[in-house]
Amino acid sequence: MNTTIHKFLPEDVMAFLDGELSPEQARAIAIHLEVCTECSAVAANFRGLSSQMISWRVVPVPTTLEQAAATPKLENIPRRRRLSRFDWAITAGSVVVGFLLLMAVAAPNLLRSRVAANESSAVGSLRTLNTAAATYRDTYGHFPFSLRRLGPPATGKANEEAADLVDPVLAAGRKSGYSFNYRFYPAFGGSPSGTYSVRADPLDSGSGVRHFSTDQSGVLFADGVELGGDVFAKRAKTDSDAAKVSHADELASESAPMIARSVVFKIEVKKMADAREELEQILARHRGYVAQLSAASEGNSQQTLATSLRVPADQLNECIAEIKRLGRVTEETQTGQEVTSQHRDLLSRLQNARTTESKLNDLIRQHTGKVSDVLEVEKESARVRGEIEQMDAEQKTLEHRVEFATIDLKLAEEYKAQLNTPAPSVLMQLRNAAVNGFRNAFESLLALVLFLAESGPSLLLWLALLSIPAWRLWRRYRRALSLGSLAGA
Amino acid sequence: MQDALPAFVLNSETLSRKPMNEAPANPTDSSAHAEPQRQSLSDERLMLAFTQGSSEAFTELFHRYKHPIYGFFCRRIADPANAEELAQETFFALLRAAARYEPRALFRTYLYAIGFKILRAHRRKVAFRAAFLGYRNSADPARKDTTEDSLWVRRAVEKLDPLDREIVMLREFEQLTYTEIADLLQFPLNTVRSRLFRARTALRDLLEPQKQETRHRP
Repeated sequence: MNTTIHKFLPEDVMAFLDGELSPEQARAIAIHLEVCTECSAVAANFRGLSSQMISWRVVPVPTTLEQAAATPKLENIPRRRRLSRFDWAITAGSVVVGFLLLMAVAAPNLLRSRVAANESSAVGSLRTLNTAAATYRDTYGHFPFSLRRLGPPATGKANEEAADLVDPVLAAGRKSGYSFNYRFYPAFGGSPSGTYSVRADPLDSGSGVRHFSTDQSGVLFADGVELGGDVFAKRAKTDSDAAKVSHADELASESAPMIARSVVFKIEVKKMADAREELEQILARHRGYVAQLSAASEGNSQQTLATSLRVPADQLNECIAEIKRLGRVTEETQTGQEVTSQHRDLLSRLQNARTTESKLNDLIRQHTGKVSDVLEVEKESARVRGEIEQMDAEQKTLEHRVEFATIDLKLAEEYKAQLNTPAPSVLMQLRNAAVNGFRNAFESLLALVLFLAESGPSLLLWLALLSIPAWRLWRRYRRALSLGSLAGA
Repeated sequence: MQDALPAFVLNSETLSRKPMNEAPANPTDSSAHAEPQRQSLSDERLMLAFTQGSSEAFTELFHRYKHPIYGFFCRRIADPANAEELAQETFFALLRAAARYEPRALFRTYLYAIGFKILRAHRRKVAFRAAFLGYRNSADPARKDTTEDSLWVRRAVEKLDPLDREIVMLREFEQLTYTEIADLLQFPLNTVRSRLFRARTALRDLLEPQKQETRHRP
């Protein structure tokens, strides 16, 4: 059909036959169809097609359909079909796969955090045990023979068998993935308290990695290395080591007891600024130093200061007297831990180790025997050297505790109530809110970036692994859907 | 050409049905004489009456549309049992949604929209089972409605592009107007018109050999 000759397109003829044209257009086409044989043929074709199409008949409506819809009451209508077993299976499967994926990504982080939490708990438990053992010794004159003696009694009041100083879980020797092995060493050399050591070992590789230990000196070790290191220990290193060693020898040669003294004070002062200045002067006069300090202000009035001071042991009494003059003493505790036998024991072991090392060095110098034997001796020499260094550090720590007494001081300013507490202005509140909001937004963004940085590679790996089967399944689904829409579904 | 129309000519007053012939639709159902007043009401009025509690109105709507809706599913789904189930589900969905019904469009469009939604959900489910679980359709290959002519038509329709096929079926069998089809499939009116023309032209070419074969048959 040539559209330049005919006024109407075949599509218009089709629309005319379908009754989709306006009356004017329909009238025009009807007139055209009467005179144009070609367009009439097109129309006849469409009509013929329509006749053919309706030969596709369907079976009559089943009676069951009539019966089902015969009662149009809402209460008679079955509810929407619930999920079938198949749907449940698919849903459950998806949830399980999602959960596994999440676990694959998050499990290592969870495990790490669990290990860190357990290790932190173990260190805390060892500190608790040290404090409890010291209290036990002060009360009963010796360290406890077993861990259970620190636990609570089954009935009645605390006694020597059960001093009620730690919780029953810790007293049983297992807490937060760690087992605690306590050993008591009976007193010798005149010290009635005896000594002890505690080891904290992880129950399995998933509950912890490091092994911790401590003893009556209070120093904590993680895998044989001193944990954290105290300020005084660092300061001791800066001092002349030779002088310290000679002093230690002097101490060892004397039979005077070695006592590590510590004092706890709580003092209420009138003006915090004045008290702090005075405290600094006291320390300067007695050659002490601040090991740790933290100051805080509660609201608009009360200020507090918590500090740990170290002063030479021979200056302690004068220092205490001057500190008491800072204000009203509300609490005072003084303790002294004798470490003479521990120190002697350490020196003996150190001397033995040095002798052994000397003998081993002699053997190495002589170069006699097989090469393998020489190597074995060198290996043994290195091990002994390591032990010597460790004991050397323990000795210095112990001597420093004796040389420098500890004063734990808490200063609190007298409380002064204020009638009109000045509230922050509206502008300041708005500013603070805006700053906090910005900080929160930034922190959440940072957390997201950190999560992506930490878990992104794992997620990408899993996505890459799953994308191929998922893509294949998707293609199968699309193919089945298109086949289904071919009147065959 | 009135005889060439599908058996289920619609009754809606609001609709001026003009199938592909010049003669207007003139249904001669025996029930029309039995209840002339009810039958004179439009689909929309009947639906409103049903929302106000008239169960007779629903019965009338059901009688008007049971054939079209069942036919709608029968031509698109291989298994007649499934078609019956989906037709039933369509009427149940209509009942459930009756309280929310507003006569903003033709009732017929509304009903077919429900049917179309149910059909698509069914197809998705079947495709999913076929793709992921390997389930196959258990429909009887020897369909009851299969005559030689209808087999030709069905095969020709199956060869069309899915969208063209849906448009031509909605027009030829469900007798929807171009606007109704456009609303239902969410396509522009001109797209529907051009695709319908393309589908009919393709169908004519596909059915031509069969026509000639029939002519030459003794």
